[in-house]
Formats: sequence, structure tokens, C-alpha cells
Amino acid sequence: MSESIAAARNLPPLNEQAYRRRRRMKGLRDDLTSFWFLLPILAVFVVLFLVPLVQTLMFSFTDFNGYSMNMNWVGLENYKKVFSDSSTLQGLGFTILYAIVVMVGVTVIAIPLAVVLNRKFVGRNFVRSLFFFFSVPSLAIMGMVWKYIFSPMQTGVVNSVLSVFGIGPVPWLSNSKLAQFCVIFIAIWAQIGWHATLYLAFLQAIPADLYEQATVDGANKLQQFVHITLPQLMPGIVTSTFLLMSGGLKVYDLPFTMTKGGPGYSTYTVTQSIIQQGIGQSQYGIGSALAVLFFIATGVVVFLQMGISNLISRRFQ
Amino acid sequence: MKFNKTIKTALAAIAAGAMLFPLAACGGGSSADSGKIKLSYLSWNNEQMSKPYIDEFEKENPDVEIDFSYSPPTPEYIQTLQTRLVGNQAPDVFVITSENKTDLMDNGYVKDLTDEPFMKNISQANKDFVSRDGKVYGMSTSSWASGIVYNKDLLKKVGVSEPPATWDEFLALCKKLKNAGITPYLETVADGLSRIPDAFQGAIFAKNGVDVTKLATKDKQTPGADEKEAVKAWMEIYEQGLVTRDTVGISGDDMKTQFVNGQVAMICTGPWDFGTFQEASGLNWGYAQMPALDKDHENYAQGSPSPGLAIYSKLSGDKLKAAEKFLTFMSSKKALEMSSKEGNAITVEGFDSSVIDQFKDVYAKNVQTGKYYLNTNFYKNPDVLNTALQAETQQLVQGQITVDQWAKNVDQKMAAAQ
Repeated sequence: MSESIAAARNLPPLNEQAYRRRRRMKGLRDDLTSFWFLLPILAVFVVLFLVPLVQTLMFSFTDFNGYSMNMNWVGLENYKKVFSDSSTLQGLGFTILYAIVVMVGVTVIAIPLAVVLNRKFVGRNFVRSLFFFFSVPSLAIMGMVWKYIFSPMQTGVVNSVLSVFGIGPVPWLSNSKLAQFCVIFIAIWAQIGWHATLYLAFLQAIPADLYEQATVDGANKLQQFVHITLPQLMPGIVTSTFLLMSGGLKVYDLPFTMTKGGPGYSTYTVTQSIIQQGIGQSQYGIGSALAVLFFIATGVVVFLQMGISNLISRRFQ
Repeated sequence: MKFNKTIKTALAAIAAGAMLFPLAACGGGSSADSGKIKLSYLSWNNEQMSKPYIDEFEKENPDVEIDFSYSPPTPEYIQTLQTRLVGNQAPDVFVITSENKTDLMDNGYVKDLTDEPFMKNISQANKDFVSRDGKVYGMSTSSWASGIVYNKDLLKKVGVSEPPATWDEFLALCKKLKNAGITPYLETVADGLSRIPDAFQGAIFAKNGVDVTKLATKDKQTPGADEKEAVKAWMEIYEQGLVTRDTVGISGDDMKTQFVNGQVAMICTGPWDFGTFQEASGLNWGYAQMPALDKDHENYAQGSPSPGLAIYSKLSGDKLKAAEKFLTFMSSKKALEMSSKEGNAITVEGFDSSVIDQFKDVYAKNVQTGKYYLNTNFYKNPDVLNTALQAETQQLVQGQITVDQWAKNVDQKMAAAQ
């Protein structure tokens, strides 16, 4: 050991510039290795995301119909059509309503549910699994099943139950407002289990000492929830609301399978409009313009929401 | 665990290779050169349904081998065909239908079949379905026509043996049934316009001598204004409270279930539901022509030729000959018999389908005579029309808009799509 120290003492003084250069080279080599690891996913990202995104932007200024590559430049014509189409605007209205109500509804129910599921009681694991199970089937399948449950006929499942209590058939899916209610209700019902599980994971990471100290200080359960649980759950709330908002804005499967966007345009969504006009009706120009606008709008909404969430979480730190 | 640079680079290369391998696998495709002419055929009938025809054709034409591919109807099929056409991977023979015929004709993807010998016996209504400017671009050999399915026992309770011939009489029968405590009629507008206005409209066009094959070439597409009179007459059934406005949320299955359970006297549907009615025990049912608008109009049905087969316009030489042979086979007695056995109502001249007793009347009076009409078959942008009809009709039935507004909104949608 002493020999090596002696040898080190005999080394010429380290040139700082050379040392930095060597470190930089090593950093570059490491970066290059990382780059090779990233290359496959980068290629997939470019081919499956970036190229279609640029193509969509390009198509939005053309009259591309999907059948002929001889397309004409139409400027902002497609964008004008999007803004003058009443069905698209109605679709936008329902999409925003859906995204906000589902986000608020799921968050407000999932947090207390997670708190309850975090307590010890007989059959806790079974109840946790049960709630999580609701979110396992796809929303498209849920839509098809609930369509029969909410059938406006007397023979519909809900109406059959109501008739036992002497309540006449309710026009669940044939009334615009009730159809909107049904779609949003099922979206909340189907997602609370998954988001409660997410909150449960965050709840289990809260140190028990915090509650013990609060109890010693005389804080009641509500005060503990407001001053300990909620602030500690903020990262979870940010994640959950981000997922709900971004998922809600691009919703398609549930309303489409339940009501096909009807009655009228009452449950019509922007994504349905993009798919219907772009692919179904071969109006790729309009579909692309709508997709571009929606991409920007979604980005703005999601960034705003993240900004607000971060502000709130900082307030609690 | 430490990796030296070589190992790290090798791992990265393997990872990259692993990502690319599945992609590379997509591009392959071996084809044994058997010396036969390979004819690619894209159908929306699956392999199980198409194979008997292909086997029989290959047996009769040993020099041709069918390269079959399938995509389910309708949006998926149209998307697949569209991608293949634009990507220069066009199938040699494919399905042409109301939703894609305009685009296929506009862009010159389909061959003119007007003077082909195999088109000789194809019925005029089936030719009209895929015609433009006097040229026929597809071969359709069968058609369907909807009608009024009725419960004989329920109608008997009010002393009627079958639905009447005109709309006014039909409404009177509904009133009679309603007064007797029987739900008279049910339909669905969850998926689009009721079948009744199309039946009226077909008769109106026929009476006025309108050439429906020219509707798609009109500068201004006005299906709403054209069908306003028919829709107004049809809406009487709602205005008189003879059918529930919940039809906007009732599916075709709901409607069928109600009928099979004897909860409704009459529904409007097509031959695809016959199997269900035949299997329903104790159901005494009949199938009548759809009522006429009035005594001055004929009894038309909502109906349509079945999708046809088209030949890719750029085919030439042996491939073109093989494609023509295939269409010749598909219109031959052998193939038509096979199709008839599957329940298709054949419309080729000189061929009679063996249809069930209940369907005989409608088959003879509507299918074989071509007295049927489907609005989405004859206007430009049928997908736009379909979507507009569905949403606007639901609002109309809900009482949110008037018939005039309905017509205006539908035409505005059509104008925006042009």
C-alpha cells in the first residue's frame, strides 16, 4: 500500500486540461453506447410517431382523399371547415365535459376509496381485487354490455328493476342528457378501481410516524386526512389526473360502442369525428386538420393541468 | 456487474437487431413458382365462406391459382383496399360496394365491365348500383329487400290477416292494434334512417322518372331535400304516437327480441333475420311488402344489390383473362346455386333462388323486379350521408328539429364534404 502511495507521489502533476479532455471523451463514449441502446426505440419513435405526425400536418393542408396521391394544396380550407362544422363543435363540447367530469368524479371517489381499502378489515384483499377488476375489461366491451343494461325498453336490465318499484321505463340511451349521464357514469365506475389502486400504492408509502405524531398532537381523522394524507398523495393525484385528463380527451371506445355518438351528437367525441371524417369518409384533409388542432389543444390542456398540479403540490411541500 | 465497452456495444447491436427482426419478417413472403397464373382476390367474406367458390373455380381452371385475402366489412375492408391501391399492392379482383364505389370510379381503379359476356344476365338494378355514365364497373349477382315482419296471431286479434298495402292503411292498422292494447310497430333509428322513407323515396323517384344512377354526378348533392316528402310521411307514425320515440336508443337486436317474444305486432327488417324468426318456437310470422306511400305510388322496398366484384383497371394479359374467368365462374349456375344455398336472393336473369315461403312474395315483387331503393347507394360520399342521416334522424325523432331542418342539415353536411 505504502509503495503505491509512494509511486503516486512520484507521478507528474496532472494536467487539468488533459484530465478534462479525457473525461469528456469518456463521457462521449458513454453517450455513444447509450445512443446505440436508444437507437431501436428512437427508430420506432421516428417511424411510428414523428413521420405520421409530420404527414398529418402536411395532409391537413391538402385535399388528400386516401385513394390518389395526386393531392392539391388547399391552404387553411380544412381548418375553416373544422370550425364551421357544428357536429365537431358539439363533439368538442361533450369531450371536454366528459374529460373534466370523469377526472373530477374518479379523483373524488378513488381517494376516499383508497383510504378505506388501506384500512384493515376482513376480506380486504378480495374487495381490493373486486374494485380493480372493473378496470380490467376494455371500455369498448363495457360499452357493449352496458348498452343492454341501459336499454330504454321496458325489458332493459335497469328498467326491469325499476318496474318492480312501479317506476316506468326510463329513456336512458334515447334521451340526450341521460345518454351523456350514462356514458360518464360508466366511465367513472370503470376507472375508480384502477385509480384507487394507484392511490393505495402512494398511501402505503406514507410513513406511519406522521399519523402517530399527529395523533399525539391531538389531530382528528379529518385533520390527518387534510394535512397529512392529501399532501402526501399529491404526486399520485398529479399522475392520476394527468392520465384521466389525457385519456378523457381522446375518448372514443366507450361512447361509440354504447351510443355511436348519439342521440344526435349528444355523446359525439372529437376522436370519433377524426376517425369518422378522416378514415370512414376518406376526408383525410379534414380529419388531419382536426387531429392537428386537437393535438395542440390537448397539449395545452395537459400542460396547463400539469402546471396547476405542480403549483398545488409545491404549496403542500 | 461491470460491462466493458465491447460487451456494451455488442448488447446494443443485439438489441437493435432484435427490434428490427420482426419488422424484417414483415417484408418477406415466399411464393413458390408453380407455373400457374396467380390471381389476387380481396374479399370481405372470410376464408370459410369464400373457400368453396375458390376450390371449385380452381378445379375448373387448373391454370389459375387464387391468392385469397380477407378483410371484414365494411370500414376495415375499405381501409385495407384503399391502402393496397395507394401502395401499389392492388388486388386483381376485389369487392365494390356502395361505400367505396364512387372513390373507386373517380380514381379509375375499376375496369369497365359493360360489354363483358358475363354481365349479360346481370339484372338492371344490380348494374345500376355500380354504374356511371352508362358504364358498369362491378358484377353483383344478388340483392336484398326489407319488408314488414308481422306476428299473425297478434294481427288476428284485430281481425287482420296481413299488413295493408298503403301507408295510411298501415297507420290505421297501428291505431287499431294500439287501441286493442297491442304494441303495433317497432323500428330502430339508432344506426340511421328508418327503412320506410327509402321505400317511399324509391317509388317517388320511379314515378317521376328520375335516373338514380345520375344522382351522384349532380354538382349539388341534396339527398335531404330529395327525401323530404318521404320523411314527412314516415314521421306521421311518430306524430300520431303509434311508435315510441325511444327508437333512437333501441338496437336492432332489441327490436328483434321484442318481436320474437310476441311483445310487438310488426317490425321492419330484412332477410338476414329470418333465421331467428324460424328458430323462435311458437312464433307464427309472415313477411309482407313495405306499404306504399299512397295508391299513386308502387310498393317499393328499402333494399340494395349485394356488393359486387370488380377487376383492377390496370390488369392486362394473362392476369386480366384469369380475372375475367373468375367473374365468369362467379356468375355461373354452379356458383349461383352455391350462393343461393347460403340464403342470398339471386337476381341474375334466368335463375330462381329457392327462398323460404314467407319471403316468396317480396322476392318476386321487389327483389326480382328491382323495386327497391337505398339512398346511400346513389349519392356521392355515402359515408358522409350515412353519418348525417343517423345523427339528424335521431334529432328529428326526438322532436329537436323539424323535417325541413333535417333536410337542410343533411344537405349542409353533404355540401361540406364536397
